[in-house]
Amino acid sequence: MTERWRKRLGELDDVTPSEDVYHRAHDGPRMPEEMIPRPSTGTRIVTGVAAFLVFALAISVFAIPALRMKDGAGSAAQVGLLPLWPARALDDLEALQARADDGDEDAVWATDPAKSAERFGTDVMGWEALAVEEIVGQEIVDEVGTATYTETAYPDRVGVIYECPYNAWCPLVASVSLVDYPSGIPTGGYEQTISPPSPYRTFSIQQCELGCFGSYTFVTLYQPLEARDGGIWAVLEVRSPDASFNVGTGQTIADGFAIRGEADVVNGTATLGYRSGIGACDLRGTASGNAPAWNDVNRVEVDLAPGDEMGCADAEAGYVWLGVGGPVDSGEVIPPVDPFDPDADGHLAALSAVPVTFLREDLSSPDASTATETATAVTPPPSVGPTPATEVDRVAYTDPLGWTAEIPATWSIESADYSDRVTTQGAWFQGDGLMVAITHTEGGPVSVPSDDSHFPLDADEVLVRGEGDWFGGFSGDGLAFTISVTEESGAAISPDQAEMVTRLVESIRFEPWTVGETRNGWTAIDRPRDPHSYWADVGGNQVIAAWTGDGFVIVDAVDTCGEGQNMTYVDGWPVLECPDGTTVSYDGDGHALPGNPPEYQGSVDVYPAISAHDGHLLAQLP
Amino acid sequence: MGTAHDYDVIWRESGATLWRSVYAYAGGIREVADDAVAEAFARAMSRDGEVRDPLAYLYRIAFRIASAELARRKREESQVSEQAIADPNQNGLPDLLGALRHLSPAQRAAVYLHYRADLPVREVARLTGMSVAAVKVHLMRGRRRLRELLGEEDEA
Repeated sequence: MTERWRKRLGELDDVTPSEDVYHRAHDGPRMPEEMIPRPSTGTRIVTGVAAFLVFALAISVFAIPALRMKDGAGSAAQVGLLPLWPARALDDLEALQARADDGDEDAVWATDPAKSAERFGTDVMGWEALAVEEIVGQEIVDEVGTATYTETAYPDRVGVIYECPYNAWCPLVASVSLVDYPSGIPTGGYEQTISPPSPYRTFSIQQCELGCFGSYTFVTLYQPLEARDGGIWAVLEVRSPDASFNVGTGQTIADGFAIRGEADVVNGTATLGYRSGIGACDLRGTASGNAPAWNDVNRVEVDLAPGDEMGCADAEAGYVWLGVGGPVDSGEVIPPVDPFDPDADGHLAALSAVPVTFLREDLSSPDASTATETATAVTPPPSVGPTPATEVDRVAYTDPLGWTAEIPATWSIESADYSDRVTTQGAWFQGDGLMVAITHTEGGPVSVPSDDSHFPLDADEVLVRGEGDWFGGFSGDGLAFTISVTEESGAAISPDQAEMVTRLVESIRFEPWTVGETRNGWTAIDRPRDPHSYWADVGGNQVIAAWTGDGFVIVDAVDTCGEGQNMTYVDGWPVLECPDGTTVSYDGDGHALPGNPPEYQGSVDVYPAISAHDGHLLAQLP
Repeated sequence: MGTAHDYDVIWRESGATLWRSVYAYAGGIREVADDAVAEAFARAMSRDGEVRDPLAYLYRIAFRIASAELARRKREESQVSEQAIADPNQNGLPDLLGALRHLSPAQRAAVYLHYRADLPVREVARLTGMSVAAVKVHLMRGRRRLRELLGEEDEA
């Protein structure tokens, strides 16, 4: 099974450094300082371990219903989410649409999401050359993770691994990989069975000025005016793994909130900023830094106090951004300016930006009048009401998605089950000054399956704790869930409240699986005590559960060769022996192994498999 | 100020792997690997107190120096491929390096560190300063390309 090239790499072991390499080092550095980009050993600017993508999960709770722009939203106080680019105000978007409808070449590009993403790279990031690739669908690709692919080449290569969608729990950073087209493109369109067609289109863009070696930046677009052919696309959010902050798309941010950022500053300066309002109401704040310790600089406190003077409403649409700039042509390193400012003319190595709503008063309660449509979306179905639990002061909540939790008996429970551009399911628990939302979202940018979490959860590990807002996530029964905890007064969460949250979170459970059972598109199969590839039965189909070293993938049902066949193993690998003496098997990529008879020379599909919370292997087949 | 590190030990234990990964990254250009690794050690030793993770520092600096040098050579349209092939004398290595040169520098480094030095993806990411995502990208592409160029299966 070993690939020849892996052994060939061993030939490099015969090459050794020149004898004087280490001795030369003792003579001291020879190259001018400016020739060497500063290492990033100390430049990861942190507030907590990778909080950002978790904070982004807030979109599943609050944001999505607010994305639809409404008539009249173009007035001075524009509440709700507005796109970041190419225009923010409804009037400007409508003007762009009108120009596109008229065939104006300077606007027609906006009707093509890929071209819009590319233009974002050139106009906003300041890149002269870049690669644009769309993220769609997904496919397990041996040990490096889950790939996505499309047959629509743009411009000449497609396929992206995206392990950290914003409706999934991401313990570290977004993980991305690519597959060259057309190699590795399996037949069939099973990716559409994993995630429904999304109204969002997400593209990775990568700078390619000295080869495409830069980090990936993800640009998610949607049609803010009307979902139709010819409708313009606009950027909803931008995410770079190298620039993150504690604010998610659609989050409501009150006056005084501390925005905190983390950036991988390799050779340049990072700037964290916010902007509230459009037109006359234009409140901004930034902080820049490039020092190894950014702790005192990487926060911006939102100051909406001058709003009265500028005609700002209590609630204003805005955005938060964090850009990392590199040296300009002159070699000078200057902090990046707001990339969405029309006058910006910078060069960004990385950028994250999300639209948010700024509130000048404490209007953050979900049923407040300015909290857009979110508050109207909750109607608890009868089946999900509280039921008595054994403890006097708690009730057991059972969610339609199968999880349970113990809730303080005095708290209210509401089902969060609504659809707009995405479908959100879960519940909101409210009491003692807290609102805890536990939700699962479908239909956004493609999600990638991940192993279930271990239960009971450890609240300290699961929750990232901000000032008055906690966010986190977990996986169960093959689904990703978001936890959002909000102190309704905006105050810091007290120790007593923290204890309540901890107990709630650590009470979350899922039912054990039985072999053959199917939930949420996953089917439970047995797994060996020690990991190895084996024959498995999934709904009557014989498949190969192939061990990759990090986990399993499912190599699709092998066509049987009739009565008398024998499922066996050769050198530990599952092989089908046919009555005529031929053998059939496939590797972990689904490729036919040497020796397969002619009718079994083609590749078969490979599907994800994850570990369930109770140790079963869960397989996802079309 | 951080702790002083014993670079003699680091060189003995990790120098060769670092050098080979840079050598692979540079497509077999010994001069680039020698210069980059020597300079990386020199810089690390000169600012030892500031370096918290010396191995990661060495890798990142060495790769960046090599990257800058490769870019400079590319701009000057130097005969990179000829130099690379001319260097090694070991049996088969020119073929391997020839195949590796079909990969991007980052792919070469990731492939070497992961598949030859047996470093986990996260460790490769830590050492090279790439994101885990980027490492996976490079492994994916590099593996597929090498499979095409050098063959997929053992014949035995």
